[in-house]
Amino acid sequence: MTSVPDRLPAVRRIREHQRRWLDDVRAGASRGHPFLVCTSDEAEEMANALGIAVLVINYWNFVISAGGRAPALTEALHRRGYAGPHFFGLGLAAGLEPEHAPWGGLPTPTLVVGSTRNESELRVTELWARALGCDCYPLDFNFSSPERRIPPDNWWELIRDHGEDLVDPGRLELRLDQNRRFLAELEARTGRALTPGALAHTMDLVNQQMDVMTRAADLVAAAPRCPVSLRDQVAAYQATWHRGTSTGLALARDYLADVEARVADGVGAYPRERRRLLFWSMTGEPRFHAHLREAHDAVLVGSPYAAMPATYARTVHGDPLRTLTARQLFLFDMRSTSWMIAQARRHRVDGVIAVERPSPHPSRFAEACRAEGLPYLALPHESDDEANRTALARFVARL
Amino acid sequence: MAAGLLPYRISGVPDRATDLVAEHVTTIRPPFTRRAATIGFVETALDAVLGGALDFVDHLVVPHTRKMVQAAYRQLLLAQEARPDLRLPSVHYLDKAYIPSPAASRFNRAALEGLADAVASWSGTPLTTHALERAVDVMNTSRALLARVAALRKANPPRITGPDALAVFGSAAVMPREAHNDLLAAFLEDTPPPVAPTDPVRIHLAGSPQDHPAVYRAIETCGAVVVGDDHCWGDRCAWWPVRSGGAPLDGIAARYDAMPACSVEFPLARTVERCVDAAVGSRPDGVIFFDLDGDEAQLWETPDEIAALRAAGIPTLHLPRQPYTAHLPEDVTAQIAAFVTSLHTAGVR
Ligand code: SF4
Ligand code: SF4
Repeated sequence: MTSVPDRLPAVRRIREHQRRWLDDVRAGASRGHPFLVCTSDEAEEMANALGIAVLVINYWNFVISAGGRAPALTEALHRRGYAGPHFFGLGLAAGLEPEHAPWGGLPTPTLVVGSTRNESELRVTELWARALGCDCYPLDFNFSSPERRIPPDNWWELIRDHGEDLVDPGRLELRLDQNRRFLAELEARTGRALTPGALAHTMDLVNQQMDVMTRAADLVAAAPRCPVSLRDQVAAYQATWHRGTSTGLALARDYLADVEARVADGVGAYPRERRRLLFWSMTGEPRFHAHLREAHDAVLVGSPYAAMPATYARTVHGDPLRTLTARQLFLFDMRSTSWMIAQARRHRVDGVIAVERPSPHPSRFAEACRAEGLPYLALPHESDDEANRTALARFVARL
Repeated sequence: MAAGLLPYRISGVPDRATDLVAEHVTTIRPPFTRRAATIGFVETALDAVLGGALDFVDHLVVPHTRKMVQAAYRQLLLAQEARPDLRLPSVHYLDKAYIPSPAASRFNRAALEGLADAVASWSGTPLTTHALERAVDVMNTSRALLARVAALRKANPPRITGPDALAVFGSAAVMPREAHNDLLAAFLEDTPPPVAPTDPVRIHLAGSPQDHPAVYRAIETCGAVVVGDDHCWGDRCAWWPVRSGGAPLDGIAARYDAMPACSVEFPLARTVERCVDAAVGSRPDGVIFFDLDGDEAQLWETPDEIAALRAAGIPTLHLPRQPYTAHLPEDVTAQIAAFVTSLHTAGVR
């Protein structure tokens, strides 16, 4: 029997890099280097084109919760009157009570970039900027704004070359204007100037990195035995936080090289792979996966993370800022059932598992799979509990 | 109105089961674990639309306000596509930029012009300047009359109860406005008598929008009167008249551009200032923040607003994460009662 390979070395290097990078950003910021805080897919490329470090709130929140700090920070928010369960607000909480934050908190950023992604995110970023002692710069509309122009179900086939056609033209012009003013603001505050071609170069690096990641995902999907565990696939995705930099590209190439080596050596990430399954939820590896593997020899071979790099890569038609802006307004649409079916085919799976709110009515995803003759299992959460185990046993039995 | 259509404002239906949302909307939501924030008045209103409760409505304008409201646009389109037998109104998306800038004003103006075109095509009547002027006039008259109603309850002693004032404001949005104006003008001809025999405790209600009177009743059962509020089914209905003079569409567009969507205005300080001004204008003994579960904006605004009111010496009660229901839980009514009593005994006035 093949022994279970360790975690992919490239993934370990990505994780180590993240830690070093966070230290470097902190050190740089305390020496007065500019740095930005923004929510995902709002301002990273613009900052990178100016050589400004950017910390993505969603990533920072993951760092915070991975460090087990969420309960104390949630309590910190409750004490200040912010009731409820919290995830997006954790970074703000860490700004309010730095003693509970990783590294004792963040240095003062140049700006916190606010987002009207929803009512709460704008407020959280404003409060956070106040806690850190800097300004909040808000940007309107983004890929999670409810659409005015509804993308077709096969958006994923059009997105690389026709991204602009998928977004509302009025919103595109507005956000373009906001981005231009934001760049001018960044230049004024940091004394840096966007050199001609810098943004085009950034967008080119993004495309290269995403093509490398897509190539790696293709190899993972096509290999006779799944060469990279879902856990490592998701961990490798962290390189995306550095898209548009040579570092991001290097991390992606490193990952691809490891994947190629495993494929060449015929190494499988899972010792037994009797059934291949697609996990169609964005939560990383679900807690029931270990049981699924051990009790049923059924393994999760792919997830939306395998398909997302391709949504970042966009052909620049002349104006890179315009291409980027269109991408900020539409990145991907999880509602597309054809996207899920295409991923299921790509990964040659025997079935699909998703986390859905319990409902007496089959979701569109369940129906799409049924139409394709693909077994589909909706679980209410990703825990490894008795109810999930029973549902999994029944599901695997009918594959 | 200028096109001869009857505008009808949709509200939630407290305690309505949302089976139809589960059947037609939840099923199109992508699989995710983290619960999408829901807010009762949107879910129940959507359910009512799906259930045909608004079968007299031909066209539905979905505004770009809170995210849950905006999302209804695509949800209704998808539901209709999946189930052609559902009798749903056609939907129009009225977009809006939040962050003020000249480009945002142009954007908002274009969105409004898009609505004007849609309305004209629905009615088959072009919108003439004259008709628009007349509609602006009717609406501004309505706002002026509603402001007088608001003043009645702010009077000392108050001359209209909170639930009654809420009913007056709400009815303006669901009936022909001219008729409503006539009724209001008649009502306002004589000053009504005080609503409470003795000096009642004056409460200003802040927090989430209230489209039904349960909270008002709970407060007034304790011997207090709701003398003012801060949401868009209440006093705010009287705010922001369209400026007169100039082309009517310019005035309407300027109003649309300047008016915040829900409470969301940038920066937060402006929202807080508006909240404090509204509260102080009610000359209250205390302010109650009733924040609905799922109201993601209010969640982050209330603590700042409370701090500002405290600084102004106004006592507050914060009721976070409240259910959208006509039957308030007992512990909530008990907290309201205790707060009102504390204002009594503290002899704040
Ligand atoms: S909000 Fe609830 S959980 Fe949080 S501190 Fe207050 S009582 Fe405790
Ligand atoms: S708070 Fe007012 S503007 Fe916002 S969604 Fe509700 S009714 Fe609309």
